[in-house]
Amino acid sequence: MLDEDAYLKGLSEEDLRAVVLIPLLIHMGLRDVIEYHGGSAEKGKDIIGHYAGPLGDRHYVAVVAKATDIHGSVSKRGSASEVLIQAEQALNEPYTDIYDLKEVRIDECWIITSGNIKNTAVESIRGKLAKSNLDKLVRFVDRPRLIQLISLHIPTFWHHERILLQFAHEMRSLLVGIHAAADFLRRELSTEKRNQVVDGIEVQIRHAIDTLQSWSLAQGQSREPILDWVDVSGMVRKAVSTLAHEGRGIELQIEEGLPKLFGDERLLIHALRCVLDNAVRYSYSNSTVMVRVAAGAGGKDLLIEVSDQGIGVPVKEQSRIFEPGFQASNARMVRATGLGMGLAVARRILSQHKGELKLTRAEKPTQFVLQLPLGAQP
Amino acid sequence: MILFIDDDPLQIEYYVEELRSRGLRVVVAGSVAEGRRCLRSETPSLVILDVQLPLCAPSDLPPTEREHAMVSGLTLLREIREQDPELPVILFTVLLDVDAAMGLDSNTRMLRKVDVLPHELADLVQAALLE
Repeated sequence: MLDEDAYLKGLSEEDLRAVVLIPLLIHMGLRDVIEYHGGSAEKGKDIIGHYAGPLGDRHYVAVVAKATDIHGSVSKRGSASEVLIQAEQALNEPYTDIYDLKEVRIDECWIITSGNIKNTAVESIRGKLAKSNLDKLVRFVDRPRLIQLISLHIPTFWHHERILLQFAHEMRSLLVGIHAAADFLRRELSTEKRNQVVDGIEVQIRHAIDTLQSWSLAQGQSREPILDWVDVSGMVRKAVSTLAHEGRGIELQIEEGLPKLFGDERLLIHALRCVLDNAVRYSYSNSTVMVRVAAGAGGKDLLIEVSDQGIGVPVKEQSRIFEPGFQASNARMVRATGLGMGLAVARRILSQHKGELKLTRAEKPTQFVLQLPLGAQP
Repeated sequence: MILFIDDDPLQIEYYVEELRSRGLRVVVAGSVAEGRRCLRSETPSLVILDVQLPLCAPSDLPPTEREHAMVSGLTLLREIREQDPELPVILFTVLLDVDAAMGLDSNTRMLRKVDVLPHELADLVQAALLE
């Protein structure tokens, strides 16, 4: 699970600006937000943007971004005195708006840190700025307030970061297994054993590729399907053949004489593997996942039914299972890994093919149906 | 006997094989529930424990709703320590944000899977058994 405090604490100042603050400021409604840090004209301004005042005039905001606690007094060396210097510079030194090349003054300075801010530092900075009437132009945002602002203005931010962390975890888990198997191959092994290890490596690499592909598809990197006539039986067998099923059987029933399907075979195999992987992953040991492939009534559709003797989907959560990143509460109890992307991706691929992926029975045995239109034959 | 508690059989397969190839008896448990059962029925000389573990295997999932707690190998570690403060335990994880300095006792060691190959784990286990 993502700990929001720890996440912000772990960011460098550069990442804080790029990953958190700039998107946040844009979501808060600031316009022309630019990173100003590091330039010769910086003069205390790490990020600059503006918003429209009540009369339509531009209010310029300079952000002083810190990835450390702000403490101490401005009379001593320390983070408070550094922040004061930056804030004074930000407010006193004009800024040339890079969009319309006009020199403007900064109206507000927001001091934002992913650390904590001590009250004594705030008082000390405000006290010093009061001498030049700049104290009213300064706002402070510390880590707890920053977490609130992110949740308020970018509701998906934490969800997305959680999925990213989970993705990294999933890939590490797969690579650890492959690395260990490769190390094991250094030993003297019988040809049979060696082939077994290589088969295992292949299964894990296949799994890693599936995970990467699901991830790309879920991020919206879907390509247009490359359509061609597909032999249904061959496609289903390919989807099943390289699936890591950890001792759980997959039983295939394919109706004979099925017409060909017009679609993108690689994408359809991926969609089917996502549904099958889900069925296998949450099935009891020594149980069988049933796959029935048949034409629907009237022969207009192809129906692929996937049924498993698994843990089922809790009633309250059935409407959410196709959301990217969603994992049912009972899923986490039986598997510590998984991204919750597969069903979302499979549904998207089916929809690209004008088909549908449906949960037709949520209790045990759980059943999903992939429905694809069968058009005129070649 | 070595008790290896980890829910990812593909990931640990060759760690287990390497240990077995050195003549060590290894029992694998895939969940917290299974781990508890093995700890009751067996007397391991060393436990290798994943940090992020599911509560139970799918076959153990009760039909009624159970408390959905955050499941952690660290919970199991505490239970082990209540029974046996001396038993050598290796926390073996792919997590990067588990702090090695989180107050582990002298009989518990933390290893990150990304840093340790099967033969290296087996060396460390044998060394720990000799101590």
